[in-house]
Amino acid sequence: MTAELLERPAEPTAVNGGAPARRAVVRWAWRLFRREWRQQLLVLALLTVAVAATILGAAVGTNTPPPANAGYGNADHLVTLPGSDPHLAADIAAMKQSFGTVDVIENQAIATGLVQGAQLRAQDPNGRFGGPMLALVSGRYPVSPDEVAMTKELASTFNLRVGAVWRESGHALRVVGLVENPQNLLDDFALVPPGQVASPTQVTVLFNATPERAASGLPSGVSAQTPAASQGIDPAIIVFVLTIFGLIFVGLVSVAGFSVLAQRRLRALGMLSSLGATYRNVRLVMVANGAVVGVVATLIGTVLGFAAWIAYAPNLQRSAHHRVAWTHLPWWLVAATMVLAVVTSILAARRPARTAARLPVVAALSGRPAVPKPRHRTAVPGMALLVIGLALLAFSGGWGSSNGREALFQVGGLLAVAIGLLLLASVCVTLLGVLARRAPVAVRLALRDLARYRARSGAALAAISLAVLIAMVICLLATGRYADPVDYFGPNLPANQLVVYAPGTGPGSHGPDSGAAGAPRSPAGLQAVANSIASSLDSHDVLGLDSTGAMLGQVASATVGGVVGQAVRVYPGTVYVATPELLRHYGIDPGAIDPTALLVTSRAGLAGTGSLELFTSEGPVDGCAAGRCAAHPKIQTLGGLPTDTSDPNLLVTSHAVDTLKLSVTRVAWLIQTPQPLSAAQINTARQAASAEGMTIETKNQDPSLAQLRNYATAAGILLALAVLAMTVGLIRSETAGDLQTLTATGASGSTRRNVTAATAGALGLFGALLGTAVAYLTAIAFFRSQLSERMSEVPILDITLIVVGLPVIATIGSWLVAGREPRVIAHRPIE
Amino acid sequence: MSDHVLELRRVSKVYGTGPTEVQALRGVDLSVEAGAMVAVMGPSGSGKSSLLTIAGSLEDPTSGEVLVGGAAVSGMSRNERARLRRRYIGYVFQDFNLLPGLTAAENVALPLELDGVAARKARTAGMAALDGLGLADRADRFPDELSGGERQRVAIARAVVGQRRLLLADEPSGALDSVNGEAVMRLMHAACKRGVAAVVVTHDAQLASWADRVVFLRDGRVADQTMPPPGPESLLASGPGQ
Repeated sequence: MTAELLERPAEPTAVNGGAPARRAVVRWAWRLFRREWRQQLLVLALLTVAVAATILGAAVGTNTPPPANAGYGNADHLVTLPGSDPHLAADIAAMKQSFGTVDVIENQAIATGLVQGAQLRAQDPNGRFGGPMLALVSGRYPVSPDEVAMTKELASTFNLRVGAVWRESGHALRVVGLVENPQNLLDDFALVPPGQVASPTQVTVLFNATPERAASGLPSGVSAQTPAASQGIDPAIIVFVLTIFGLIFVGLVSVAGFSVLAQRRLRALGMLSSLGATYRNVRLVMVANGAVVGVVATLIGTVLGFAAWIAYAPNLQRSAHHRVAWTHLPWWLVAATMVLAVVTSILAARRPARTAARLPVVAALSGRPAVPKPRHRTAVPGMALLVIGLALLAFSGGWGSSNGREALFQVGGLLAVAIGLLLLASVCVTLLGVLARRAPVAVRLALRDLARYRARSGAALAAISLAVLIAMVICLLATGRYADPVDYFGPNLPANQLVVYAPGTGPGSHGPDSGAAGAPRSPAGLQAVANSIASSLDSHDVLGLDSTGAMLGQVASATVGGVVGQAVRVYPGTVYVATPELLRHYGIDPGAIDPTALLVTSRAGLAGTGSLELFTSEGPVDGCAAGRCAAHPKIQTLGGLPTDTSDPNLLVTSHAVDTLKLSVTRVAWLIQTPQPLSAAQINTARQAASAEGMTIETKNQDPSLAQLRNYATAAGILLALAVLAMTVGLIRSETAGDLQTLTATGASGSTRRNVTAATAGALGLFGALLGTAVAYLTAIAFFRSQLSERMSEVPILDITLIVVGLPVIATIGSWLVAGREPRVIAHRPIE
Repeated sequence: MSDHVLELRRVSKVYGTGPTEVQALRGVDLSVEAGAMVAVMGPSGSGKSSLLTIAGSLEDPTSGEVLVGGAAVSGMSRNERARLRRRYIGYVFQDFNLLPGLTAAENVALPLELDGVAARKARTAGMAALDGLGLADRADRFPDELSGGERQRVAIARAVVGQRRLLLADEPSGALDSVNGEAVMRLMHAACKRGVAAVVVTHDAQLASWADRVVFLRDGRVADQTMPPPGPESLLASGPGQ
């Protein structure tokens, strides 16, 4: 064998080796990724999930709101005319003359037994403007007077199918097809040919016109509507902001992941330097690795995101109640997310790359990481951003603000708070070393390692704090939202309750004439129907609910279009009467009612709410005139009353009935069943109610506050634990040499377990404390002017779970999995 | 200008400061001519590895001067030193530091590619180097598919590919059996015959006998320099009747 001393093939000129050197380095990075992708699985997974979640979130966020032209079809104007208008035909004719082609849609209410009701609709399927509001699902459109097509839900309600005969108001109509309103799937209607609705309750005329032409071409007394311009923030923007949050989080975790990868490759990088690779070449190895991870994760995430969206789109149609096209996406956001994901990965790899490239070649060859240089880190930038963020939130108008400026303040404030927290977290990690002085040896070692390896522990603490911040902010904002005593929000009823409404009295009803079948029944007759429904549900627990039509509202001055006036926030539910029967039903002694109180309620905070007025059904006219309105009504809080929104949670007292001379009417019956209601039971009850022109209401899908808080808390804890699992593993693998020394000096497995457990516990505790503290500051700034109302309830369980549960789970979990004999890592060949 | 490929003039190296200070080298002088092989021996902690890393521009001496090919290393920028390593200096380490993920041919071609040589030309040169060492059939194997002896031969091919004039080896046969160790030394010796200057750190006197000169280090100083007895090849050369 001989070793030839070969001539150099060509004389290069670039000091850095130019493109061939870069290609060689990138090729090596790619090969390393293919060999070691499993070691980067967490970063890959996080980036993949971030991209997939963004695409899915953007798709859902963009497609959840109803279409901008919902109700208008292709038209830019619509006019709604009452069916009882004596000039109806003349008005329509005048509009045809003024605007040319118009689409006329006639509606007549029909009774179904459900609170949402349905319409008999006459619409031309080939109409110029109504097309997007009508689609054929199966069969065909009706063409003759004895034909009808109906929505699937309505057909199901009447137990009909295509080919069956539907008897409506004495007419026999053959069902020839199933139809739907793609813009509103809740729109239950039976479609007949134009002109076949005998006595429409409402007529909609669609047309196109310029604003000037629309203003001048309408018959007198008729006004046109145009699609409302969106005033809120584009959902895509919200998703984009959340994506940035998510990618910051992923970036922090990735920094830790790439740092460890650089540490593992240190000897190989040293070898590369010894071969003559420049600083830039060595740095490029890690940066290229980051780019490869970013590109691979982005591609996988994009595919997964689209697959998830295509799979979820049918569910979204059901929950958003309108048809969606899977291609209807904010493509700019998809593209921006893909780019940002790659950029995040590259940026996350840059710092470890720089550190590894700067390391002396000899130190790198020996696999010794750089000795951490004591550097003074200032908390000023983090504090400054935190203060700016809190200030922006404080001036964002709190809950209910809707204009663009305030929305920008909220988004900017949240971003500034989050980034401020991240900066503060990496400074706070140095405090851990200070706390170590008096701790037992295992804890001392753990805390000092955290302080020493700030690149990993700082990023980990920041990521954990951010996870806790997001969870706690959701908890606190949800608590604040649910604590609004006027705009009451939450589940309407428990699963084992049903409310039967008298004809024309249920939510969304149009009055007593809205399709009640036959002659109106007497109150006793309605009571008998309610009792009969209860019996069919194996229940005898029927509570009659009386109403006076009185309403409670909060009056505040408001400026609209430069004009100062009054805005009234009306409590959305029914204000029932505190009858002795009702009070006794909930175990309340009628004698316990304050004789001067006008209202009793289960809603904490309502009694302390200012600017309330209790007024009759006529509204707060003439500045709360005496006899028809009571300003600042005295409200007594009774814990025994139920809290669900359709339950009797707000009652007028007999004192109020007398004072405002209110007339009491029985409007509903609350039926308590022994078991949660089944779909079949609900259908039976609905049919029984429908037959008498009554409607029923059962549990809706709105989440309870406890559910929201529990989901947020659980998600925050799981996210924080995932970060902990990875970073603790990374930190401990870097200090495996120390563990070896510890073992050699006689430390048992339990000492090693304690070191690992203390590492996880300390990170968990500090992250939980920091995240919770900043979340509280955020909520305080956000609810600044409504603190007593919105933040009176402290989510003790959730705070305890996060501040105590998270560190405890982290400590116990890491103690259980730690303790193995450390692997020898020194002096092993790099290949 | 002398024909010394490597010159160390009064080189000292101190690690740490204060109570942690360690004097690794103390005023070491060493010259290696083209085609010469110098073995460096000494007990652990005598400064052998420090001498090698300083000679190879991987770290700076605390004092003294290092000249490679007549050029002072101390005045060079980081990039110039990297270029020096790419063009003049080849390393062979004890634990076969081949880069994982690259084939044998790619490992050998890497210094050329880092120097800006197009990949195809660099690979041709790398293949020629491997062929010269009898490893052409292993060119497309990855390091973990090669035996220890083969890895070290690939490392030597990588160290001499191109116009390298200085070969630095730190215990090149330390992880090999005696047969492979002898083979590695024979290869380096052959490289020296073609004009390469080599400095080899070793504990093994038998392997040091391949060198033209042996330098003994003790406590960072050159304790002795000897001309070794004729190596095994001389025995082969001086057959019966000669």
